[in-house]
Amino acid sequence: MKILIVDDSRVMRSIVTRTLRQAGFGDHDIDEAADGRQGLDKALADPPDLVLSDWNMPEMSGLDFLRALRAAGKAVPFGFVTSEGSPDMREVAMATGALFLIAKPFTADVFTEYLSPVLG
Amino acid sequence: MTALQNDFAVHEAALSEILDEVLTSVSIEGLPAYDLSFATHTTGSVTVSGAWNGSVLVELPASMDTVLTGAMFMMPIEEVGAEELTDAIGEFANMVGGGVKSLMPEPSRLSLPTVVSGGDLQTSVPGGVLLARAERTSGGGALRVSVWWNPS
Repeated sequence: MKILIVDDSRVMRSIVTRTLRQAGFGDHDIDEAADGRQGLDKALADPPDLVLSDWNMPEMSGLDFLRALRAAGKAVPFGFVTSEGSPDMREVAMATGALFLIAKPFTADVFTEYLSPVLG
Repeated sequence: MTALQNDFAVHEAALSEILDEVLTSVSIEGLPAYDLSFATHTTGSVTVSGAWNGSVLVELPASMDTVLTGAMFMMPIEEVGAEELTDAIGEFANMVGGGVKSLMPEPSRLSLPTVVSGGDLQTSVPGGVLLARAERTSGGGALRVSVWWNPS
């Protein structure tokens, strides 16, 4: 399966990739994008099996990315990995079509809990 | 201990726990050993604004900024440049700030991180009230995080 990691921080993309490996998802194909716009372009051109996206990013936020994806009729499984996990943000994320919101800092166990239903 | 500190539950134990969670999250179990061959200091900061206003600072002494960045990127410290250092320390501050923000009243917003490096940095928050500080030492230096309330 293919996982698209969208975050403007290169080190965070690296940490997410590392955590995926630690959580037992290292065999999946990993692709990266540096902001919501790049993520949207990639997701529309070649839909991944899961998107893991930051919330606050330049060019296009993670929330706008998700909205654009759903407006384009793409039901790609989508989860946020972000520094802010307030109840309000979680509510907005779920209402927009996200499956989950993982707040940083996170552990491999948290990835296993949230990603296993999607990735098996 | 002020009433504010009690009310907001921002105390050193909570901040220390956040710091450990962030270090674990970036796969650093104990700060790596380092020497003092690099001469920069780096401070990463984020602000929280809204129902609570304040700043979170992450201060790293000479070399530890580079070593921490190398560990976060899993790259040799010889390959760590300014771009990597800014990215890693900014993200570190962002994660600590997110943890602190989660203890504060909502609604509030977390700023993008600011990162400053220099030879002899002295970081301060004018008018700010220090609420908590936590640090981890390695190689004779200390990674220090602090939370400042802006009462104005």
